[in-house]
Amino acid sequence: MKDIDCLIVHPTTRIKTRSPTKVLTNVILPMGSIAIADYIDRNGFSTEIVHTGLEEMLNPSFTIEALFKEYTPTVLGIDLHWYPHSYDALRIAEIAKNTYENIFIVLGGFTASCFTEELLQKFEYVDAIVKGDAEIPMLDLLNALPSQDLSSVPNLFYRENGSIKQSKKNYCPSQEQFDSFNFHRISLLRNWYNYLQLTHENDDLRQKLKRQGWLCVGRGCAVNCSYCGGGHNAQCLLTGRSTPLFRSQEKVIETLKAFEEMKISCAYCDFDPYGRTTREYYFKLFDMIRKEGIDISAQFLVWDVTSKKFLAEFKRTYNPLYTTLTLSPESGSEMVRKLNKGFYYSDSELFSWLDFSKENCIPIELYFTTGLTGETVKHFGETVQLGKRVVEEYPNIVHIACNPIFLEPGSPRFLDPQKFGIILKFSKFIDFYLTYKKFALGVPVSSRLGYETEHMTETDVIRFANYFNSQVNVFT
Amino acid sequence: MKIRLDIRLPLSLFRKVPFLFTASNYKSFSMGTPFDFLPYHASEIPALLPCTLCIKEGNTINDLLFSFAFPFIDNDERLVIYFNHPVWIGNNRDPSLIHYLFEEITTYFRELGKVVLVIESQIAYMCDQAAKYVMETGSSHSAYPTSLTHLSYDVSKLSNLTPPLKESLDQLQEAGFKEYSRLLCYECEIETVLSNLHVSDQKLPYEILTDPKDKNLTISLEDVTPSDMIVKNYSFVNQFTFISPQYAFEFGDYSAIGFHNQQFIGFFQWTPNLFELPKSTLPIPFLYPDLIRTHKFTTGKIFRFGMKIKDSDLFKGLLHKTALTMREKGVNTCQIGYIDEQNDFLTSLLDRVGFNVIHSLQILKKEV
Repeated sequence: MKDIDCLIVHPTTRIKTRSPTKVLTNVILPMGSIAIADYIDRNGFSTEIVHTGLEEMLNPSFTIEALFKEYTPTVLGIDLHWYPHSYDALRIAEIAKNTYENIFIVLGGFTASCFTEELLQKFEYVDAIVKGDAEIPMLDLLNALPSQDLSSVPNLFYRENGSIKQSKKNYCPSQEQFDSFNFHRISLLRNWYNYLQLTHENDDLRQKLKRQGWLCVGRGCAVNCSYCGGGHNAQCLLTGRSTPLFRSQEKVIETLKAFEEMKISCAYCDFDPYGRTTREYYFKLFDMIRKEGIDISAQFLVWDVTSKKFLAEFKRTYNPLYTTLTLSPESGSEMVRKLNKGFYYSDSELFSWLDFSKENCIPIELYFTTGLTGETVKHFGETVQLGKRVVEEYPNIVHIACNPIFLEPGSPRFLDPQKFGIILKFSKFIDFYLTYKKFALGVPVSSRLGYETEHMTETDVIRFANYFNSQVNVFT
Repeated sequence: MKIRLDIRLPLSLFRKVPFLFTASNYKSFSMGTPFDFLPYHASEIPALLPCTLCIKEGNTINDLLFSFAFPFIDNDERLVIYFNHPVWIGNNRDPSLIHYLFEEITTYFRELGKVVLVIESQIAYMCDQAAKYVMETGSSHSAYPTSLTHLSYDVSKLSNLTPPLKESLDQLQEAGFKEYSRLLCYECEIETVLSNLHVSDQKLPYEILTDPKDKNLTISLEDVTPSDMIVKNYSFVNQFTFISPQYAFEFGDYSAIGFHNQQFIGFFQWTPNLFELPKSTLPIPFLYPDLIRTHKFTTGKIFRFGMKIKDSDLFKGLLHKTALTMREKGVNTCQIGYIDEQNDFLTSLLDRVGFNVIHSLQILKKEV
């Protein structure tokens, strides 16, 4: 038994299948979990992170029950950032509470922030929820617990005398606070070295060439894509953040240096909140990476097309071994792209960008989707045509795929389905919870995506994505 | 502090010794996952294993030694793990680490039963003749491909970094590895080849074509099996046929095919030296076929050939046609690879044409 002040547990989505008997998905840890764990640990509270999926991959007989025979934490923090963890996060909470009646269970992350009151009303074993950013609230919570007065803990929703209370204090990190967080102390995660083998959300521990680190560059977004639960409005609503917040380049460099020591060969970077409007931040960062002699590859996601200069600077900066640039045009129809994406670019701008990438010898990953607002069968046909064309004309495209859009809590289409031509099948947290519970139990679900559009049934949305992937492939 | 085997490819390897990856699934390389799986008994084995020997001290990992492993199943249904040349990553160049690396790998595969380990050791200028030639001509190093595997090191960079040759060979031999074969890479100026061959198409009893696809005599080289050939280079003598045979056809007429009475009797396949491409195309040049098509290469390398009859005129005819094609494409130096040192027919023929040995590969083998 290990007494510990705070245990942070990452739930992994478990899906029961015929063969193999179960699949573990959504295995990537929110980057904030590391910053939270480090912040409270540095401030005197012993902390560890346990990734339940990783533990299960390493030891198939691992159980949550056994985990709580190993640890007796005062506070259990569970990330409920992504909705696919809706069931598993609550399952862990329930088991923990049944094991230790006095354990204090707190949830956080975007999904939890979106459904604070419903969660506290329906799941009595959840003691509190941090809505929005959680580093300082978690430390304040640990400090406040002995006095049982939680009213001073910012961003906190909690129970008091049978009713749900909301702290009056709000917190959204300042630049200085944000820069004081450490996003690379991965060693706080049990079996951290194995975690570096996981390179995408549905990955497993099969051998691969690279080791990946998830690089936190900032938080927030300047625009709203119809399907995204992390856009500008959602950030305002859930975190109080009205403009994107970047970590200083010096802090990002610090993280990259730590990655090098851990032999992380590829930094996954997914933060481009202003698109082409301004990327001055990255020009300075790239320059510093080169000056510091940091040798690392990057899987870099741009949210908008980039300038030729950006591509050239990017190419000069990273080790080419595992370096790719990712762009998501989403649709082959310019009209549908315009309706759905916060950063719109025309086909002609897309092709110019691909031309530049080819000239600069940069491997590209492209992603498309189905189930977009306004998308009809005809528009989907344009997506297939575009996919086929780019694969033929740009041999530097190393990966292309089309995925159906899943309904994201907090996204514009979730908040205003009528405006976005969406018929919701999930409107409350319990809908997500029950769906993922059924996945875990191997029971058929009535909806996987949580919606249908005015032009496509849910079956169509899934079928079209599969069709794209069968027709458009970089190896054909 | 413990030395351990990690299955991963360190970035520093590429910085120290640039390489080209040209397996058919090359597009997956950038994603870090170029793993096809070989079914073997009840298990699946990755078809590419990057083996890194390292030391973990706290949260810091120091890499020591690296070798790529390419597992395959041989004709006797045995699991063969084929390694390309081990490369030092760190500053600790204790030769005993080489022994340790293969011990760890043997342990990794132990549960699969008996395994054959084969190591490809790059030995530049191994013989006096090669050393003399390189001294006199200031010649280039071995052109792409420099390995029988999908992964070719730039051997000009490798020579500075690899374990001291004698010590590493001693270590491997102490560990029970036996020399199985030595393979030579030859080089000659195209003009010298053409002037020394004295071949004209009219005098040959064979028809040599560079693009048989346009004729009724079309054959598929994928159907050509090693057993059909009595004169062949090393990749056909053994099963280490990693270099994609389709590749030579992807960029035009990079082959010469011989027919006698409309029957296929032999072929050459060559490739431009992809190491001459701009460095920005590394490590996956096939992502940029336009550059391969338009680049002016100076060296071409015959990497695969086979003949159904042992006939020096046929060999010369195929070589002549290949040299002509190379010259048409602006290439001025011809290399030919993987000639078994014991193959007197080929070595004496190449000597007579004016080829010089510039590089060799030593193949070592051990059953565990």
